[in-house]
Amino acid sequence: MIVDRDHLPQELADLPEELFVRVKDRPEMDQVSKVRADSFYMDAFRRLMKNRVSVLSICVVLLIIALALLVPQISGYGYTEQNVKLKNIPPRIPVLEKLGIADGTRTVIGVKPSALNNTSRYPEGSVLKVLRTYTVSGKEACDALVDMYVFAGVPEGKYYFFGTDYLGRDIMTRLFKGTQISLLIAFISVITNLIIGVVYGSVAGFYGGTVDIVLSHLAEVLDGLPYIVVTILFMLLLGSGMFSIILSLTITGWIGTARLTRAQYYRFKGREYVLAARSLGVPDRNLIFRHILPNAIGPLITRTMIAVPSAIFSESFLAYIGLGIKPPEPSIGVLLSSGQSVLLQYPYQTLFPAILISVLMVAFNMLANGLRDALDPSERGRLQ
Amino acid sequence: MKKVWGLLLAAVLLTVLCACAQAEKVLHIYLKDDCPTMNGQTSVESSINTPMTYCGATLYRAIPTEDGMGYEFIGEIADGMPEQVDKNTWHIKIRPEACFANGEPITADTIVYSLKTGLDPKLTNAMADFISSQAINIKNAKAYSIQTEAEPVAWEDVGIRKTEDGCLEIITEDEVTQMDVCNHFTTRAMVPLYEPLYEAGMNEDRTKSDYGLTVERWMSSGPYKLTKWVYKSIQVYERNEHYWNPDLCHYDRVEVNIIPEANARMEMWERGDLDLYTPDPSALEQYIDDPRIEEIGSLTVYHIDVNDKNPDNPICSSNNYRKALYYAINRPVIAKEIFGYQEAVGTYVNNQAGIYSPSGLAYRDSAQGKEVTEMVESWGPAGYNPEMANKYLDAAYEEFGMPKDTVLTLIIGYNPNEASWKPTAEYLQEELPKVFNGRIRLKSVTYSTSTTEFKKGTDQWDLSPNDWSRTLSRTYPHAAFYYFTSGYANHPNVYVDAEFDAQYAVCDSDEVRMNYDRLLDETAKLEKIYLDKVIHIPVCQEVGYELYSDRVVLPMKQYLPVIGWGLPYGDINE
Amino acid sequence: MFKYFLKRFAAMLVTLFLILTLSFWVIRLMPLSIFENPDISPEIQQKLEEKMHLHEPMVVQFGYFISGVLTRGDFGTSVKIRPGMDVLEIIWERVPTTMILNAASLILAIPLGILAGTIAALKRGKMTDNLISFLIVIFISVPSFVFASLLQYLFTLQWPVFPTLYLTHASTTGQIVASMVLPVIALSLGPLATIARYLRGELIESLSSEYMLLARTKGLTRGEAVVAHAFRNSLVPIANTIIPLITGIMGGSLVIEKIFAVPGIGGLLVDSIMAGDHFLTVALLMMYSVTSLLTIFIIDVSYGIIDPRIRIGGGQE
Repeated sequence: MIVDRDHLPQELADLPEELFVRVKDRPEMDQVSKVRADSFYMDAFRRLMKNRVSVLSICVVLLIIALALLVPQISGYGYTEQNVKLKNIPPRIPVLEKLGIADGTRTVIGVKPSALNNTSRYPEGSVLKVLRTYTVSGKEACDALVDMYVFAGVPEGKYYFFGTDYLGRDIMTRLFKGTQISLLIAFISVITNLIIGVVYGSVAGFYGGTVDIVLSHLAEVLDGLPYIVVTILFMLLLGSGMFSIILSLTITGWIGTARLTRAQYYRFKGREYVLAARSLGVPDRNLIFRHILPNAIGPLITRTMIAVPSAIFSESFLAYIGLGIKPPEPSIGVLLSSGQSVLLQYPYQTLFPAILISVLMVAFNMLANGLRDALDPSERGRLQ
Repeated sequence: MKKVWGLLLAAVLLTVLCACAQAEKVLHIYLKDDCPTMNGQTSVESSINTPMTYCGATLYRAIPTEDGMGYEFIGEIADGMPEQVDKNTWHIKIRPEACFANGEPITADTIVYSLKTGLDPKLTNAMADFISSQAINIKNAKAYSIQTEAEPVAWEDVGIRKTEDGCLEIITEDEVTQMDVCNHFTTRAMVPLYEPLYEAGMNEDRTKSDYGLTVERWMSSGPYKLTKWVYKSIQVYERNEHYWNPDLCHYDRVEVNIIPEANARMEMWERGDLDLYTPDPSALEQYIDDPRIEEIGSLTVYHIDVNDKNPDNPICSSNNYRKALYYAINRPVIAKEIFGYQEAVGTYVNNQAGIYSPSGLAYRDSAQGKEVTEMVESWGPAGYNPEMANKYLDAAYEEFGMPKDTVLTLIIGYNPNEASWKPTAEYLQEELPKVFNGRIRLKSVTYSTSTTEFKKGTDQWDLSPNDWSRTLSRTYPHAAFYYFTSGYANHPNVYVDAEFDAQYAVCDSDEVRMNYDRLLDETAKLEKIYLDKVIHIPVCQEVGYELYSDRVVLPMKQYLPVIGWGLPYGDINE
Repeated sequence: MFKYFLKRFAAMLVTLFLILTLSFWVIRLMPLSIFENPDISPEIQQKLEEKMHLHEPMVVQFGYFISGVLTRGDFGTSVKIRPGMDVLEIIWERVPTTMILNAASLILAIPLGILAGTIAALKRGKMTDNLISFLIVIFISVPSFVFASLLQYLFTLQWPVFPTLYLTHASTTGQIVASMVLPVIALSLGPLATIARYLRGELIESLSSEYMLLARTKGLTRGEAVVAHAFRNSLVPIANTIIPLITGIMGGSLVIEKIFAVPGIGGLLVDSIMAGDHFLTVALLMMYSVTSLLTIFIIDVSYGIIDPRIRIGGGQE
């Protein structure tokens, strides 16, 4: 029976509103399959929440975001606040310092005794212990344990949890401010890439033929230029800064997404349900975005999740070759590359940013894995 | 069974070889970046100086004296010191035993060929002006190398030729001293070219030669010869058995590793793989109290250029504004804490200017130079005085009818790959607003190319860190300022001043240059004008630091500029 | 098939020419001039510019360049990095070292990556999987400059087992081989992790597919089914990650080559851009473009053979 919405039979039109319940609001399970009749996304979300690793990684990501927003406000130091007299001071953390870890001391090696005894160089009380005395090139030298907080004259009760950098700035504050900036760069560039890539890939994949050839070759030309060249060009033209970095991350970054989307189209556009929709006269726009695209959502979300940490990663490479964000603004990459240059003398300057970027990466990757499983249509409805 | 014997034999041989290798005296040094070429005429990179000391001969060479307290010039390719024939003509005898590493003799013809090629207008060598006009100006040489259509110059008119008795004759444009002539012929652009290889590497239209680009295309002539060169990895030098003075060198081999990474350099030094280590600024803190550390002098004074043509800065043309900035720079902190144990200076002429002069008195140590230093110190430590800075800023604002509490944002442009300037810029960004009570703010613009390119591209900058060493001279103190006069057409510092130019011309005139005492007076006047006009802002005098391994025996008992500790002439003591 | 192959090849040549033109113009329009160097006196600078035809209009310069490339294969002469050297010679001088190291790192990375990925997939969700996945993420997440520096510090200073630098001059071959160990390890971490991660993902998908179920119902053991069906099916997408690694062995790693002082091609591109050595930059760009196009071409053609449905321009239906 074909029913016209405007000419409903009387008995249907008279049905009371209460009888209509949205499927997902219905509390009971489907009687046959014992599965809740949820929407696809509800179901995926529920399965995501069942996965302990995914939940943990979501918590970690949220925690880092919270720290990135909070720490720069409450650390007591500004992220550009300098004190060059207190430069390169090692970490000192209350409680831990009692255990001999992070107690603000450093072993200085190969110092001449006259310098050690010179109180204008090493203030009284700064040299805790002379560990070893020996001769190099016929001259006397010694190794000593020095309390760098006394050495630099840090006021009593002042702590630098992660130490300070080459201008005496608090690394903890800078690290979390840097996380803020790095995440912002990553999110903006990834979302831009996603949008461009999906639209471009959809058009190429859906229409095929000449359109596909032209679009694929355009992407090929762009991809043929090494990304570092494109990046440097942007830096030279626009000056370094957040905008140039985001632009350079997007200029070729969308191509992968576009390829993925295109491949998904080739996989699904021949399916019967698409044919059915098309023969019903569904416009191309709806076919693309309503009927085919949702199939590609799983891989796309996974890819996007992995793209966030790789954007942070790319940014740190740019910082290493001197094309990072404009100083004095910090980013994880900037901190890592400036830490790497003094890795031997002040390892803590690399340690903390490296830990943070790793945790962030692990969390995002695990989350991506979890999402992949959750969004996998073949797993749908499985409770265990 | 045979195999076993073979293996044993191999093992014994290997042990013997190893033992031999250990008995060899090998000097291990390093370069941060490799030389683009061995041909000292085609590249301006100063890294070429190191290989040229070992494998390049020049007419003259500075070597340590017997007692290790000083150094002297000896004729290397030349036989004895240059002789002055008349006012502008010098004769240089060539040592009969002078030869290339393959035994072929170096004659006056070789030198004339090398100089002619160096100046060749078609080849256009980047270092041509080091041949035509460095310590001395050779007659018509510059005009020959530039060769304009309006006034073509023939090679016959250039003041370089061979005399009939096989000497080299040099005619200068103006009168010079014997020391100037010696100095002129010690640079890397003066190393003789080996004609057969040079010609073999020439292209069809004679516009370039690939001489010196690989070890096969290069002929050594110095005390050592280049035997292996893997670009960006290692240069190996071995004794040149044809060298006329075998006593000059004591190493059997010199290995120059190319180590671009600061951490790797430090590790190599800590492992004992290097005989010389120059700590990077970031590593200096760790070595500054090392009993082995040696201070060495330098010609470089770091400074900050100030733009007077920024369209966005209303007061940039004001002298008061420039002065305000001069007083606002906290040089002692920057020199010690950021550059790392450098010497803060409020003046510009370096410590070594003048040590080559007839009296050997450096300008900075002369009464005239000291007077200027004292004047600067009277303003504040190395000229840092926040009060004066504010006073001059007030005056500048008043001059342009602006309210005293105007907030001005200046642009500081710098290369973030420069290890000391980057933190300095960050420091100033934080510090200048404090000095001026928030009235001056700094915004940074970073660029990854050379300073010149940045400045040629835009006028929208106010401060730009810089350093200059190319035209500096150890003979003439005033030469430090040459780069900042309108005479140097290529300089990126767009600020020129007529009074300053005029005083520079006075210093550079023949009669003042030839009279050192006069020169000191005039240079002091020049430096005062420099300070008054704030041609740019001096920051600190570079001080180098070196560590030597204990197996090296150095021929010098004290550090001297020019020759340093005389490492190339040292020995190895196992 | 052959016609498709030809079509793709012709398209590649067109793309290459487009890239060549684009890179020439873009590089030359950058705010960098070749000879602006305060160390070179102004008169000489002007002479040098005339010698390189820099005073002529861009179109004429492009004409000179293109005719040089097409008639003599001449990409020009370097002006800053190695003044006077033919740019192709500069590239060939450095490529072999990079290729040796990269090849060695791939020989290490590909089998290990496949092994790690397979184990992780088979032990999905178990401790082994978690450990491998964690290590993979660490390898991917810590930037190579930190990792390489750390390796160098640990194994050359802390426990001096290997030489600090990549040696090209040593008394024994053993030393040279020993000096290759650290750079090769540092270079292989990235590819290893990438391969393992992709393979794990693909295998997991294959393992849960219907054909696996079918294979098991046919009576194959789990091992047989994995090797004969799941593994083979996963290798096709994995080729996607491995082919670029193989074609890319000519391009060096800027970071690792700098840290271990490897005289390879790694930092050359960035150096030449920064130095304004334009002819060298364009030649290098061409090299990288050819590599990347060749990669796409190989992948595409192999796809065309394996799965005709995803040929480029395969029609609307």
